[in-house]
Amino acid sequence: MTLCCGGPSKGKYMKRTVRPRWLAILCVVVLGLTGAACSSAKSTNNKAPTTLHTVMSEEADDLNPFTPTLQGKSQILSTIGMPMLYVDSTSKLTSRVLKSWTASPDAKTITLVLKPNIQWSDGKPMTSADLLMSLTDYLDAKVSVNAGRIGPVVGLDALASGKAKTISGLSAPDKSTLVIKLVNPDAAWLPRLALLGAYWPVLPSHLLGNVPRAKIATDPFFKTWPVSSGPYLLSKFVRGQYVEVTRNPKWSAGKAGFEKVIFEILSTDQMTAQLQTGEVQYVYTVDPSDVDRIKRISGVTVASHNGVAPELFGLNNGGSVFKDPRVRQAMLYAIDRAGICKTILAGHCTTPTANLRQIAPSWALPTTGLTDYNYDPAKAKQLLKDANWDPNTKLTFLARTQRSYVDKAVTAAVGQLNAAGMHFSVRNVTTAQLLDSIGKKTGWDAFWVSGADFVVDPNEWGDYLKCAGRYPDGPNTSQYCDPATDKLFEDGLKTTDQAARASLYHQAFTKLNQSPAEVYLYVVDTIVAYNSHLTGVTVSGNLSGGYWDIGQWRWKA
Amino acid sequence: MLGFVLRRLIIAIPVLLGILVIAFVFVHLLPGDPVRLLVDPSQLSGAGSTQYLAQKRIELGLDKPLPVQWVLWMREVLTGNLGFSFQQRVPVLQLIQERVGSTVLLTATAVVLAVVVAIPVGVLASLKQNSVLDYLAGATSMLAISIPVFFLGLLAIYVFALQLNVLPSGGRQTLGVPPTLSDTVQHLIMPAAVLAAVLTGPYVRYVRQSMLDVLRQDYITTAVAKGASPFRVVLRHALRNALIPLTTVLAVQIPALLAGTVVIETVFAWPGLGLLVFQSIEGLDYPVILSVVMMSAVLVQLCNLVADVLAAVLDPRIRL
Amino acid sequence: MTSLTKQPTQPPTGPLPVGAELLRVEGLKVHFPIRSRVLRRTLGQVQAVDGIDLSIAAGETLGLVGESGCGKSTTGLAVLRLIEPTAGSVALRGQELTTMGKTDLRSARRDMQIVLQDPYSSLNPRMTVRGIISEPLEVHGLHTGAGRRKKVDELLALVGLEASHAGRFPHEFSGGQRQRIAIARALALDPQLLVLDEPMSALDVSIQAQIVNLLKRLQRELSLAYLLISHDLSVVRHVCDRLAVMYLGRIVETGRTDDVYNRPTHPYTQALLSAVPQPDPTKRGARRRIILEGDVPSPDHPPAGCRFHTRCWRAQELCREESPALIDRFDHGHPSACHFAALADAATVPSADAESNSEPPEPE
Repeated sequence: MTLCCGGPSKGKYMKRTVRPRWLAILCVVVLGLTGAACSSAKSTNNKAPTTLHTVMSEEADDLNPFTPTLQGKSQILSTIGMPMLYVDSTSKLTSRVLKSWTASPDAKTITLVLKPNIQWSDGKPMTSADLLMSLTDYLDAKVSVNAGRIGPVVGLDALASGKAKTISGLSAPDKSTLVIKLVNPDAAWLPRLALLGAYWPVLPSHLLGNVPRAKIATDPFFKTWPVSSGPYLLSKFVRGQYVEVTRNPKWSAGKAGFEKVIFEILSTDQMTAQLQTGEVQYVYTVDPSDVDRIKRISGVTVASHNGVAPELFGLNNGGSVFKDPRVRQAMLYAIDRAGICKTILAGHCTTPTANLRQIAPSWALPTTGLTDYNYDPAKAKQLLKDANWDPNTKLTFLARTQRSYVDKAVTAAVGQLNAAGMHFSVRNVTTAQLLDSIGKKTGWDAFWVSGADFVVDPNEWGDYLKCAGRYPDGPNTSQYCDPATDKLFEDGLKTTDQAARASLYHQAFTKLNQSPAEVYLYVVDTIVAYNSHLTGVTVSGNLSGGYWDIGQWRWKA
Repeated sequence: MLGFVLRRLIIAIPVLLGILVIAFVFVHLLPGDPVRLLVDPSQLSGAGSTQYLAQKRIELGLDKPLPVQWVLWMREVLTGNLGFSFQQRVPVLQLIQERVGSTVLLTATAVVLAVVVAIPVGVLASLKQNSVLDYLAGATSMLAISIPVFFLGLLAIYVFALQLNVLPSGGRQTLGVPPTLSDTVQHLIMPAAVLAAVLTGPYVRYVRQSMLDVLRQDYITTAVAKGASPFRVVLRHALRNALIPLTTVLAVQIPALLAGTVVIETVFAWPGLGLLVFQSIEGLDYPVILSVVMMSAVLVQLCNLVADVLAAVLDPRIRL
Repeated sequence: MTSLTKQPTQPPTGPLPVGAELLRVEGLKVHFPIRSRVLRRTLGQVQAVDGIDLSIAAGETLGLVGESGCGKSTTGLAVLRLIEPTAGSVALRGQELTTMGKTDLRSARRDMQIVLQDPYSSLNPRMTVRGIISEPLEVHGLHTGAGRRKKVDELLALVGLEASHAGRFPHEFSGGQRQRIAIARALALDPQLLVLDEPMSALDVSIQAQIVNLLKRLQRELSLAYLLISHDLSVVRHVCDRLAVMYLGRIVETGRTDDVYNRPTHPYTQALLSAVPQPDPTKRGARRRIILEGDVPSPDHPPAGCRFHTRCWRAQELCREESPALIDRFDHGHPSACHFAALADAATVPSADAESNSEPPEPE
């Protein structure tokens, strides 16, 4: 099943923020102190800064679009580069580079048309040759880690086998148009391109066109990005510390608001302190457990958007334990998900009562016939009884210690499952141990994982449920497999007609409502905090979208 | 002396080799597969990513048997190449070089600060044994040892950055402007002072105890009998002998300090080695872990040697 | 360092003629407070030295004897003001030391030096022999450069060491050699008084004799006065002109060495002497060893009256009530502090046990 979550936008396993646990514990102690400080309200710096200091949620190891990607990198890349397509805060596809992006009715031909007068920071115009070269590199599995994550393009086989040097399905009939021929109908191709967009900025073919493809991934270009097209240009990358970008005077969409922007990684305590002293002006993202104390800092605005990243219990559907769907239903009734959201996450979350990704586009979600799994321990026990559940079954839960609210939520949920008669023993594991364990068929039953999900297209979910994509081959870490559901998702790609697609997805989602693949606990809001002088910030649910509109940010005294 | 140093260096070679074998084996015994950790499961895409990961495994040399991997690694290490970080995709040496300066700056400042404070306090406490000053010094050092260092750090941030607004909350420099000395000093003060506070406590106790031992010696009485001034008695006769044990403690403590500042570094967002170690263990970044282990092992050996040599230089009774 | 040493207000004058009074101690008391651990309240006093009088003439050796813990070492240190006396007066060449300012005291130290018991502890391990011996010269600004070198070489020769030893560190020497170094250091300032605090007791017997001979030779050559603190009565008899016997912080008997040895009047002195091995075999058996009952009382609660009464076989009611004065009861020139002092030839002390080859009562 799906692993949860997952949009391509973000790594849910390897999210690397530096927040060792003891700091989280300590926060409780200091909370009182800082709280007192905040109420004594020191005004933050009013002078319009030429440099904006921001705090990222994840570190960027490098700025190479071909290497395995983490959120932090995508955030920087969307600042210095311009993605072909991306997703705005309302989940719509948008672009600052393309005038139009269309799919043919049979969903087999995609046409991208560039806006006029888009230029590189060295003054050269951006052309369809740039799009052609960029896509060729990004789609080559030998070069790019994300190549396989989008539907196959005609001629990719020949490129992979070495028979061809180019991809025959990509063509540039004129200076501004790129035509893409797909092997299979794929109505979700453009939404997927938008989701990968933050990792796939357009590359300048006048600089990289002559680099052999085997060497492109290690080209020194990606260490310094001497030429790019975004609102800011890379000026300093200090690994593990910070990234500094400088205003791009030739940005085609206008003039960015700051001379420089600094991106850094800070612990929760440092971030809170520096927001208060005015040393940083923008934080992306804030944990729900920190919202209250940051709200008390005067001169700081906290804004949020419904999240797209459920945190969930993955289940070992490959074994016999969860074979009976009533057992999985019982789990949903047994856990007080609304209560966890309200008390442990202080309400900064939504509860997926029907256990679906309710942030999927509304047209794809069924409106009737869904079961809402509200907290009902009696019903949970009844379902287990009906399923002949053996209360002596010993279950193993793999937990990764992350943040205090996660630990609390996991403890509460596992406690409630135990009360209903499902006896989990919790084993604390590292990320490495987790991946090792869930790569095996036995030895585990459930695990906690967080992640991002951005369902601009309902097909996103299907990719995480496919029989063929079961981990370790693919992203289906819950080992869910139902060929009938697979078929519905596959058919959903064959037409671009929304009504026809909707009826297929309604069927698929109804099946998944009745036979839950995993347990969705809650969806955390995407929360940002920034100095109240900062204007133009729009919060997006998409976790790689923290900086998607950074070119529009301004300082207002 | 030279012979002693050479002998010790020669003995250190098998010790280091042994440590490296053990470390290598243990690192590979850590549960998990570093190649799998390279790509988040949500980014997997069937055949394409399988191909990518298989290629990575070959590139990183993880497809070979363990003993072969060790030999290959040692061969590289002996030529000065510490390998390539799995996670960060840059040479390990570069990673370490980027961080070690900050850590050395922080710990060296803290140690100097701690010693400069601890010696006079320890000496006064020993001279005025059981006085108010002695009890105050003892109580303060106990307090500094007992308070968890991150709490002390957060307290310092609260007072000096948030309330008084006289020092920056963290980091090593103000980002976005050219680095200046005064800027670095401002950023250094709090983390160094907090680390120094933690170190000072034990140092004061070493100095005090060591001074008390020395002051009991008859040569102190005879020095007074000669008519030497109290100043001379304390500095020239007592302190010079009393500092020998502290020197040894310091030399032996340095490796632990370099590796053990992760807490301070996190609290103050100080970009040092501690965080690198923390991250590389989480990410099963074998080359980084092994390099840090190797560095620590070398440093421990070296510092122990320095401690012995120093002791011999300072104390004529010790012959090497 | 020399600059820190102010010039003495009263520069020492030349050596006194032999026989003239060099040191006079009157009513010297050293009490150590006993404090509670936490509040530092004074709970009581250890009366280590409780009112003693002494005098030493130039060129003379006074022996101060007694069991360990009787206060003799404290007396030695207090005389040199290495411990602050609680009360009493100490005059060196007529100059009162107890009230002297620190600067004056430091210059006064040129006339009085000390040699301590343990030569392993009394030499700074981080200084060379030359450094140790020349430091007093440095401190007092005496001689410079070559002159100082020459003086050190002379001192080494004086105590029987070679000039080539000067560059070595103390740990390279044997115990006897170290004690010679300690003596050389003490002599560096040409003092008139040396306090010798058990200078032989840490050494082998054969070495002891060498040091005794060295000290005797030095005294002859340099007209030194010694205050020799010892529990070894045979050494004391060999070296000292006069003796003072201490018990629990007080002097119980004093006089010329021969007088005290041959005619002890205080029971404690008699007991001490009875334990000394008799060198003359013809006299063995004629004397019996007096074994004292009980332990030495604690100096923080000394017995009232005569301090010795708890162990004295002659004690009577009076002894428990009244402290006996140190007076010359027999006009022999050697006073004793006993109400019932009895003039007795050591050899005629009533003897019960024939054998008396035992050790001193309280070997240290």
